[in-house]
Amino acid sequence: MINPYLPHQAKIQSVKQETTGDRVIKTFKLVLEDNSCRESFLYKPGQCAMLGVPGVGESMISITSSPTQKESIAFSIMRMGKVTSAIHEKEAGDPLTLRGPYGNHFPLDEWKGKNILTVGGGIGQAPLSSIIHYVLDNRTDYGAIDIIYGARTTADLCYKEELFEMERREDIRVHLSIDVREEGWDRYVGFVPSNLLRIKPSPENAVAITCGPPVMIKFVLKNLLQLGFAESQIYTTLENRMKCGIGKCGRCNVGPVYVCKDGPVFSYVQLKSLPEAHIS
Amino acid sequence: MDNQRFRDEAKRILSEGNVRCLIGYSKDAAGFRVSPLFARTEGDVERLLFSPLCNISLVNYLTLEKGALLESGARAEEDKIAIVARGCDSRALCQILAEKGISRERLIVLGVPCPGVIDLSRIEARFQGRRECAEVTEEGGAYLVRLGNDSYAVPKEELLAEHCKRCSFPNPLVYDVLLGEPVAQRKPSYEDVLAVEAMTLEEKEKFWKEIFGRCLRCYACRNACPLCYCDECVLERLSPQWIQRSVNGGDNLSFHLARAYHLAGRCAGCGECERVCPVNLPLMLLNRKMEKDMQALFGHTAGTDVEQKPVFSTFDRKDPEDFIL
Amino acid sequence: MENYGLKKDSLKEFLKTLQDVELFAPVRRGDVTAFEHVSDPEGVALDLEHQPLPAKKLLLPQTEILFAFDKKGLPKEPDFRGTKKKRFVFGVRPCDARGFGIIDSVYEKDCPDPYYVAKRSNTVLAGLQCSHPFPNCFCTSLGGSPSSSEGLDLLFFDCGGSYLIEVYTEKGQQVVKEAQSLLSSPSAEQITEKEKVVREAAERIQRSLSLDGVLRNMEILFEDPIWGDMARKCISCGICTYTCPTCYCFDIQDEKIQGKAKRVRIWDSCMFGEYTLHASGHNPRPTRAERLRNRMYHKFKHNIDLHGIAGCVGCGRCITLCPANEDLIENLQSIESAR
Repeated sequence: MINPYLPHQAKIQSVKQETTGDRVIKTFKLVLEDNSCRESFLYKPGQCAMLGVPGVGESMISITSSPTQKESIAFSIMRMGKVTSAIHEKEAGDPLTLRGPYGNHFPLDEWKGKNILTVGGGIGQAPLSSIIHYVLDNRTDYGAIDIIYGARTTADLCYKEELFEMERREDIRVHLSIDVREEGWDRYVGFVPSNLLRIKPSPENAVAITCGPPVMIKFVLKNLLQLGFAESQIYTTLENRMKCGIGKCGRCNVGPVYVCKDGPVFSYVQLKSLPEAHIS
Repeated sequence: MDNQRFRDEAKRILSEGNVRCLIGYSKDAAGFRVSPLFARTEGDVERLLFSPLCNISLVNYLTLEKGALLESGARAEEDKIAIVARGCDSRALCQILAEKGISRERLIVLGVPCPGVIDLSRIEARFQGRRECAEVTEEGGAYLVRLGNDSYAVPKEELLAEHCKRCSFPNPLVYDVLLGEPVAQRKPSYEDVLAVEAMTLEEKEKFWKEIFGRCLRCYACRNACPLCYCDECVLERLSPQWIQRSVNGGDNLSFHLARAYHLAGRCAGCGECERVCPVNLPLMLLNRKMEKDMQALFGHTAGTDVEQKPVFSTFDRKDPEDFIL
Repeated sequence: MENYGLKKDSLKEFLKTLQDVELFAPVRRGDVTAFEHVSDPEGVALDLEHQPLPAKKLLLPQTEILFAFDKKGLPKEPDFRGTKKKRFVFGVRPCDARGFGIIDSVYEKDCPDPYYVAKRSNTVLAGLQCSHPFPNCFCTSLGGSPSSSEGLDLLFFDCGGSYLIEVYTEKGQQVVKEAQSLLSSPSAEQITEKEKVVREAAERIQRSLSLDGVLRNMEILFEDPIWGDMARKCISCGICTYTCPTCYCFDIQDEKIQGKAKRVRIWDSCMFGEYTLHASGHNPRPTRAERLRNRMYHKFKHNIDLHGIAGCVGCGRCITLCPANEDLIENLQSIESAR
């Protein structure tokens, strides 16, 4: 019998600091040591994995890379508590343990032919990045791509170089913002939900996925509905404290569903049926 | 205790305008149990009572939840809380007030001189299987137990909680209203502590090993303790982690010693920790040892004076320093 | 199903003849009766006065080492051989045995837990019929009974001077074979006595309730202030969860045990304040009201929706042991009568 608690060895290929300031985010690119592990770690955008530091513990992190990016598996991690602080101490070449992939995924097959709208804030862009890269690597399968993304300040924006590069592309539209005016920033200044209203993306044949701080999600959901998006066109992710990752330890439930195995991806319709998710 | 006078007093206090609620006791529908009652209306007050069955510390509810009922420094013009406090409860209250954990102005204390309460497991064992709603009063040296149509007189010694037998603070030290006549006070004695102190090292090891081997780490002792109200408890912190979560003799010992030390000079001696423990750990032995040592080393007794400075936050030139050169 | 008679004073000998098994039985430690490993059957305490703490810790140890880390920090594959030894648990109450069935529905399916499965498959459960249910028992309201054989390999009925033993499974039969010489065919009197004992036990159950209204009302009561009222006296400890035969939540920690780094899992409780505390400081269940509500929904709605059965076997331990006297039956009745 497989022991689902036993993690696999991985090595850090590279570490990139995405943000400076108190909310430090780093992107870790990992490669599983064992070949057969590497080959059998098949994931889809939206899924997560347990990253661990032996002797310290594990933390469930959403996978930032797309499965089409085969060189490594990327995780963007904000330093928050005991485990993420220990991970942040690591450098390229250091080991980490990996367990997964866990959870459900964005229904990208169902979204073929549709226009993709991602609305992200801060670290929330991490799982959205997985969608974006997947869609870009399967470009002809999808319609228009709109990325709406913002953070408090430029220092808090993730994936800056990549996003500035994407701005220059023809096949994707990027709408970046920061909350507070800054010297040298000539794009939109304001909160992400306001930027969303300003851009007025069309709900026609579109699907919207949003991730970010709870207060941002609350207003983004409201504004998406206002813009004419149907409830069935809206998706988001939930997070909770997790330990086992496989629906046994009991703690990550939101009502009857476990974020680790029934989530983290939830459609707005599903969320409305979960009173504990407090979507009203 | 004149329960009618008690209820009239409670009604008067609740009607005084800005009292948000009155915390007292009510009798559970079956058997010998009582529950905390958070009375807000006259209807609620009708259910209030005080009897020898009232074994829960209500003061715990003042500090139980973060952002709870009373914040230190809050103004009296805002809601007040009235609370029923037995001798031991008022001692806990006194200590919390001395530490500035609660604002005195927002409290209305109904003090109850307490001749001791009944050990629930003893009375439930004595009247096994009886589910009628019990009424118990104390008369002379006995408890009069009324169950349905039956009446029993049981010698007080048989049912009185062990802890109450040692009580030296039966009368409330802090109160706004006193309900009942003061009870005779006995001097503190520490035979139970001395008995353990007299053990050899091997005997002590065996004694404590058996005890801490039983602990379930349910945290009931910590949660039931009125003086345990830190926002971030040392016993459950992970960054840094002081006590491992594994349940075994060694880590359980650390847990209980850490708690005993954090309560040194603060424990009000209410005995709730022992009452709530599902595996009957004699936790008060540790706290009473601390209490005895605090008196000997610092001349300090917790919870006796609202103006008393917390012993470990004060420096006195006369403090014993024989462990430093 | 096979049945046998066993003279009561041969019980200890019966237990002694069981070859090559680890024997677990109720043992009295101070004022508490709990299931422990018993090397000498003389220590077995078939306590009729005190409800034992549940046997779940035998399959879900309170502290279980998942694996150790070697010097390089690599996880070492755990050795399951120790759990392959046959275990005989004697004196389990029917409610506890049903409780294992509820835990099975989570631990044996959908990514099975190898630690639990290894122990479960090697454990023989020998139950003791509850001739005298405890004051807060309400198993009959939840599909169980003091004489239920569900989940048991054997069940002992106390027939006065002897036991009547019913054997339901091959596993149970294997064990009983070893003590053949002590067993006899049950006499007509024993069978009559057993039927009497079963009848009387059911009559001795003092408390009951109906769950129909509860499930229906829970659909609409999520935001109702009833939970705040219910939780007001709760002190948020873990007693109800730790003494519940169907609770199974755990925490995972990396710890040093005897100087070596290990990953362990430990019982945890959804009633603890920091159970759902995020590293960011956000807590989706910050107060006792939310936590109690979650526990009630988990056991009396979600478990029913997901597995078809309530996550409760009606053993009443939570009622007996709660320090604040929260009464589950009264709480369920207040949910039922809320609408």
